[in-house]
Amino acid sequence: MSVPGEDTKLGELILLCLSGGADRDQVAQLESQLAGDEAARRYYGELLVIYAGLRQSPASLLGSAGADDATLRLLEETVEGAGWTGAATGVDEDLKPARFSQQEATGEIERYARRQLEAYLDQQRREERLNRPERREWDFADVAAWAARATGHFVARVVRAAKVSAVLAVIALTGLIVGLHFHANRVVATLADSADAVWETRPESDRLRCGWMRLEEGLAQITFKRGTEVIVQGPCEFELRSANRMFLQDGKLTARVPPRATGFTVHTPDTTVIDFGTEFGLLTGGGRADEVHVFAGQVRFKSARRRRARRWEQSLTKGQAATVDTTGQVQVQAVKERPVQFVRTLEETNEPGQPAGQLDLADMVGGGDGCGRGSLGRGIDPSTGRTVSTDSVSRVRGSGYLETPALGFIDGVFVPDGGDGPFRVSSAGTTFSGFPDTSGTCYRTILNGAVFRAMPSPVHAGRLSDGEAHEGPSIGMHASAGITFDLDRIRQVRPHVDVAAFRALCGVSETVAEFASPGGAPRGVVEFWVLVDGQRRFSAKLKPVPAESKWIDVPLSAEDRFLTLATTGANDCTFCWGMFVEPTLELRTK
Amino acid sequence: MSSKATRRFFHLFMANQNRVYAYILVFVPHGPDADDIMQETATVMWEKFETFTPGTDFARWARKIAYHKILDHRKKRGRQHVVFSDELLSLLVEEAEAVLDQTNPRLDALRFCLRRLRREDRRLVRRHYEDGATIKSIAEQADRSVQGLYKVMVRIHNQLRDCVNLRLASRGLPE
Repeated sequence: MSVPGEDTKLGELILLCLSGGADRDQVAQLESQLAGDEAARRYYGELLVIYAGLRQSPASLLGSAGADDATLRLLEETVEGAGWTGAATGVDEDLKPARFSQQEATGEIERYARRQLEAYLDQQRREERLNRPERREWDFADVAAWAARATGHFVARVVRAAKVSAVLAVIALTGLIVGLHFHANRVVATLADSADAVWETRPESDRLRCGWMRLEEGLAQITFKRGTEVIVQGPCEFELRSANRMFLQDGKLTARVPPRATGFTVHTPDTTVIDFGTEFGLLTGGGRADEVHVFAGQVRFKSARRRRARRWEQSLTKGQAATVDTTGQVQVQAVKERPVQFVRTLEETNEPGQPAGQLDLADMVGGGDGCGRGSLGRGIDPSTGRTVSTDSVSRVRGSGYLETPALGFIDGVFVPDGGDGPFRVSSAGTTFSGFPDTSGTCYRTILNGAVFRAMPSPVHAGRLSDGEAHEGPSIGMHASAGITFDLDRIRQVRPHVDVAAFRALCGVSETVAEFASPGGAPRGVVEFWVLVDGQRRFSAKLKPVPAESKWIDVPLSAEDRFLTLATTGANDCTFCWGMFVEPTLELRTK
Repeated sequence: MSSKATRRFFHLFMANQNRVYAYILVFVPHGPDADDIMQETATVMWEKFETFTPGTDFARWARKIAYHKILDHRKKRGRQHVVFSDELLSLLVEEAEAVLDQTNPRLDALRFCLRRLRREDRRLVRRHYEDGATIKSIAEQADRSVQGLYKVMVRIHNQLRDCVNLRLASRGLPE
């Protein structure tokens, strides 16, 4: 079969047919291709489902407000066609669009009040016409009667004016209440995009109003009305306060502020960041110091106004990062000295369906699909197999091989220890006998984005070079730890490519030399392992000081299924800050 | 029909409509014709809902009705529109079954994948499917060639298909 995505001919024929634009020759061509190719028929079935969903439920799938119009229309036509009217109320209640928008609601109220007023005035005019006296000859009795009627009319007019005033007052009051309600719940931003976003309460629409929101997982991009684009990284709790202001209770965000939104402000419980047309990242909560990274322009980072402790204020410019502890002590460093924590764009350069030839294994560790959708700073605890949103593990004993069926392409994790003989390294039961006797302990989470820490030094980004610095994606794997990827699952998703090779630069972070305390010089070496189906394909013992690194290039064939990466250190190993930089699966079109 | 039965019908209908529509498309891969058949199928489903046994497979029941409507359509239209040979249809029905059974998880994944499209691609999908604009009319308005726009639409559909498969596989569902 022609490969869908590269040769668009088959796809074009299918779409032409579906849209009713195909001629007989094109139908015959499609029929011929489908008849002779099972893969083409499967592709056809998959496109049909997508087409069916989009044609029948576009509003629901595309996230438009309101109910699914196509479905409602179809149901209405069905019901009308069947001559059914009796239970219409029930249907309306269940299936009509869930609610009016705020503007529609306001409009409805105003229209209703206006209709009431007009109806009332019409009625008054009708009564007036009916009561109008006919012309007669003058006589005293008539004059007296006329005077009496005129008085009555005058009184009636006064009463009517009072009633009109009352109705107008009600309208004004309604308008005022609606206006106030509107102001408090006004739309201040738009949910522009998201990736794997799991909300505590999913926003009802893309139009976001003032109020609290909590993103449990994933990423969401919010565009404020004044133009600021904010990416929040789950877990994150925040409040939208106006079109140019928000409150970050807990979590991480990145803000890109255009010149017209200068002054965009983010408050946290302890600090305030005021922007001057720039891009910055902000982290707060989780028991850590607030931290700001400035990627462009300038920001003012200062204590919260209501804070009673020492007041402080710090201007930061491009490339600077600042942390502030609870006593108000501010520390300024270069951004590149700090761990990479902030996602700065949701734009993908490697869309599904457009294999760019590589998959990033670090991204998979972060919960992604290898195309950059994983979360930086997210990883897997090798002692439990659970995903964790931060580097939360600290010196925990391993529990053998832990399968992780819920983690996409990751088959399992483990803390390698060869002391007790062959060690299991895959869900299929494959074992490996070459691991050395280790302490059986892991020290850190297996992380997307290697970070390390040596108390009392701060958490910092790991770094490797082979003559030139490599700042690409990385997997942090403090010895001893191991992770196995299931290549078959990747092949299932990308049936039109071969997984041709695994490449990465491995080594011990160069930062060991900077952060190891004088009295605690690094001991031992870290051994890096790459296994394929339990067979050693690569291993290297690398020293921390002076830092050593080595490129891995392991060819893979269609029969290879489990790819295992591991680091081991001897019992007395210290500062075993192992990492794999740019861990990549090379893909090749079949 | 009682109000309760009415609600039950609409609930079942809405949960299965895309699956039934996809089934119709296998036989009649022509959107406008499939819409007509779906409309007729929905009407018969509504009229005969009292014959549906609660607890049994609603989609299967609906597909039987759809199948008869498809046969009616084939008799009426012959090969006037897109109609595949019986041999190909039997292959398609047999092989599409697995995909059609996954319709709802696939559409859940599709909802996610649509959000991952580039903005201009999502706008194009919205114009075509939600606003009902034909590819030809969109191409004319945008001053682009119809063929070029078809290629773009194919690329978008391929992206969505790959993303849906990826999403299903990453959740342990057969793709």
